[in-house]
Amino acid sequence: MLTHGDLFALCGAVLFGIGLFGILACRHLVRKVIALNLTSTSVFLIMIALSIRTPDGSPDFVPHAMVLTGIVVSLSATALALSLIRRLHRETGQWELPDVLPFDSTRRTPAGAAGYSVVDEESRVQRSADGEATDDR
Amino acid sequence: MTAEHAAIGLIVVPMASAIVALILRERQAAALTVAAGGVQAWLSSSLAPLILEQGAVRYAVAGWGAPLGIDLHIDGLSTVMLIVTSVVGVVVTLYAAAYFAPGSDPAAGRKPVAQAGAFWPLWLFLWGALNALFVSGDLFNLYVTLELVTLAGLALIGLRRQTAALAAALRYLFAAMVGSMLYLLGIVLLYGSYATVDWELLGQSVRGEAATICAAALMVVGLALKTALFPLHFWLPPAHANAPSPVSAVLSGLVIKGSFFLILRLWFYVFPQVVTIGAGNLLAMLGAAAIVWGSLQALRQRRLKLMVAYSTVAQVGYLFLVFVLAAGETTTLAWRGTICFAFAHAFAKGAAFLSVGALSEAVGSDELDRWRGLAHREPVAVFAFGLAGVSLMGLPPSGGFIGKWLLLEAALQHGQWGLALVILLGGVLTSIYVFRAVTATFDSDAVPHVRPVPEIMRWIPLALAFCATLLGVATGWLLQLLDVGAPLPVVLDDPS
Repeated sequence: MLTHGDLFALCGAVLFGIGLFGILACRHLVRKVIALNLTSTSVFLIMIALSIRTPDGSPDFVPHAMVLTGIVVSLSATALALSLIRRLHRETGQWELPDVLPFDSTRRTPAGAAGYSVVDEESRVQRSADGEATDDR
Repeated sequence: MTAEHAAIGLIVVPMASAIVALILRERQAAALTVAAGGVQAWLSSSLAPLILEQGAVRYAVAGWGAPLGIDLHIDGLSTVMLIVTSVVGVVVTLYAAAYFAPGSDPAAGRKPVAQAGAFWPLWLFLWGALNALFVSGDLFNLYVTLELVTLAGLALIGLRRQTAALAAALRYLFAAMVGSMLYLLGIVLLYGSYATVDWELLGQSVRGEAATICAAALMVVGLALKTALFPLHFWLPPAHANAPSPVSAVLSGLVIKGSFFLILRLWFYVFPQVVTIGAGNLLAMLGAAAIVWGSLQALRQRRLKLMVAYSTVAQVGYLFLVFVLAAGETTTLAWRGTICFAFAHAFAKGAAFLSVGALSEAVGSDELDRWRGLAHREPVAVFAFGLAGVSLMGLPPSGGFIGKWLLLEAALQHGQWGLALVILLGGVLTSIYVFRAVTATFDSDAVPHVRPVPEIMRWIPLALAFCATLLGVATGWLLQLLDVGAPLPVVLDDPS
């Protein structure tokens, strides 16, 4: 007989699978981030479902502490991902990662092509679109 | 000074300095980082004799014990990793101070790097998180520190804000987060079965049931994704090649070792009864494939930073051979060989990336064709690269040679002829691409015009490469330290 704790845990497992599929299959970067959040939330759900299963009926608080910590970590990772995506969009105008070419340098890509190129040491100064060096932290 | 205080200091000093560095101007932040690095080097070197005499130390931070408090566990392996982190960290900090500083003579062509001010707090956070990772006593705290390391590393890769760097950082982010989620799911399963996340307690109570085996598989795969084991290495070459040189040195030298350190903790201390010969064989075969594939891909590269990054993929393969070699009587041999190899690799790869950075700055590009004749202009940096290559190849005398020698001995004693062959083949392939790069720089027909490079950026890589070489003759203390808390001989479960 499935208890409601088991049901939550199973739901978490299914959501983990859906999220993992989303990260791998979605091309749009924001969708990938949403899928990543889904994955982490599903793990937290499983963790909470575990805290129900104690012999005397009162919940176990250690998973709660772990979930709170995990939420903070996941939040920071999402924030970083979104800011990197925003910057990438500002640079390329795309919401997807540049094509996954073999990222070796055996093919000579012309400078400025929208391909995947290794950054030159020459271009260490970052210039924004209007030509001034930006400096915000 | 007790071992506990040293460990706490190693976590608190970089974290506090990181917070202070957020409000300082760039030059002051650089000075603060150098000072913090010096303190950490002193703390980690004073930790070594303490651990040698006391053995492994377990410490409940602020007196609050597990399960709600955090325990620190410091043994020989932790101390070794702390020492290598401190030394490489100090050296990279000095290099970065010169790398990010604008030249005093703008006419000479040194342009300032935008966003350089953000490097110092991020680097200090990464450093503190690495230190915390090496001394954590429970799996969940290891997850938190691992995430800290990853996020700080990501921000450092994206520092230059160019398309290639941003795309590489995003790819690394998704790969690393998937790895973390798999690892976290494993923790959840373990907590559900044993009601503890303390890895020492888990090691004593783990049984071979379905949930535990599933947890072991999830955690090892997730961490293998973060350590860039073949075929999960796809994110590493662009990420390490597109980062600024000091960041690449730290990523390849230290961050990779962080997640590998976790796999070692899990395999030998938490799951020794659960892991099977099949699993060990699988990891070792993937490691062997990584050695061959990484070296072959490195041979094909025209750009040196990508070449060195693929070399990291190959060297990570050597690290994974321990999971089949450390069984029965060869456990100590394989354990020592792997850690020695990892230690030497941190120095050698750091030296390689830093020297490539200095040479790229001199010539303006890291394409091998532009480097023809460079040895005539920048002999010190080329020599540093060559010396680092000696350790990467595993030629005596170097730390890489000691590591490979011990691994080879373990492989031969174990009867693993295939692995022994692959270890030797890896050395040969490494020598091909290192020699190709170095001999190109000796071409005297095409001596390039170079820009001035700060003196310290030439000599620092040489110092690191020299450390890697010195390790080849001064290994005794390392092996002694590794014996503290070394895992007992693992007897792998024979399915027959």
